[in-house]
Amino acid sequence: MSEPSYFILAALLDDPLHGYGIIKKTAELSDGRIQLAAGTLYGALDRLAEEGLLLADREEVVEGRTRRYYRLTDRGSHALHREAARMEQAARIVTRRSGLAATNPNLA
Amino acid sequence: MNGRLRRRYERLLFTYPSAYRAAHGAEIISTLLDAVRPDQQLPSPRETTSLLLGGLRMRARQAAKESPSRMWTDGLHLGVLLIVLVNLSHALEMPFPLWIALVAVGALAVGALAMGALAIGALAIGRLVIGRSRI
Repeated sequence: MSEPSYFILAALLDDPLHGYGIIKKTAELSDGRIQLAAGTLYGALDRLAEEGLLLADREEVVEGRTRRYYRLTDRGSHALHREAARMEQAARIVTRRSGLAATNPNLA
Repeated sequence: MNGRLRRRYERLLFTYPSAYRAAHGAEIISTLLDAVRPDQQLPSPRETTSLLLGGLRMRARQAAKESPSRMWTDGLHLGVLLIVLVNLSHALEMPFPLWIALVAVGALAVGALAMGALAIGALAIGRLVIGRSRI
């Protein structure tokens, strides 16, 4: 799973969001590291919807602007948690080592 | 607000397949306008690049979905051409090494892809230019 896809799905964990909502939330969750441009965002949304990981929830028109909300499917939620567990396990290989290095300067 | 910027973004969306544009154009424009700075008059270079590439990718994905057999027949044609070239080199008893045939077929394959991308790009740019001249 690509990093933008991971953060897009993670942005939808709590509530359905519209396009700009997803852009703001992914930036917030990644400490500003992920700044999605619209072309990238909608390409990813189309792919993720095709894979059944999210779906278009509802549409609103407010002050002439069309906002479609996207929400995580059960399948998307499972995929996201699986990916998180995989990354946690991968990160432990390194963090365990640096934890040792921090307590024992000889290993650093 | 900012009708001119909206129209500029709408023109950039012409790189997307028309069916996709019909289904998602309005929400993409809204998202783009949500993200603009208050004083912004032009589409940002970052959004412009992202829309052009996004549109081309969407067209490529759609083309692959509509006719996956097309890619296979193109590959088959190139394969047949390779065999013909190798046979020809044997028939003529020419010192025609295989690598020349491979390079030639490789160049054709890359050329075919490039032509496809160029055609899509030219179409999109043409539409943008035509769109702009109408203002």
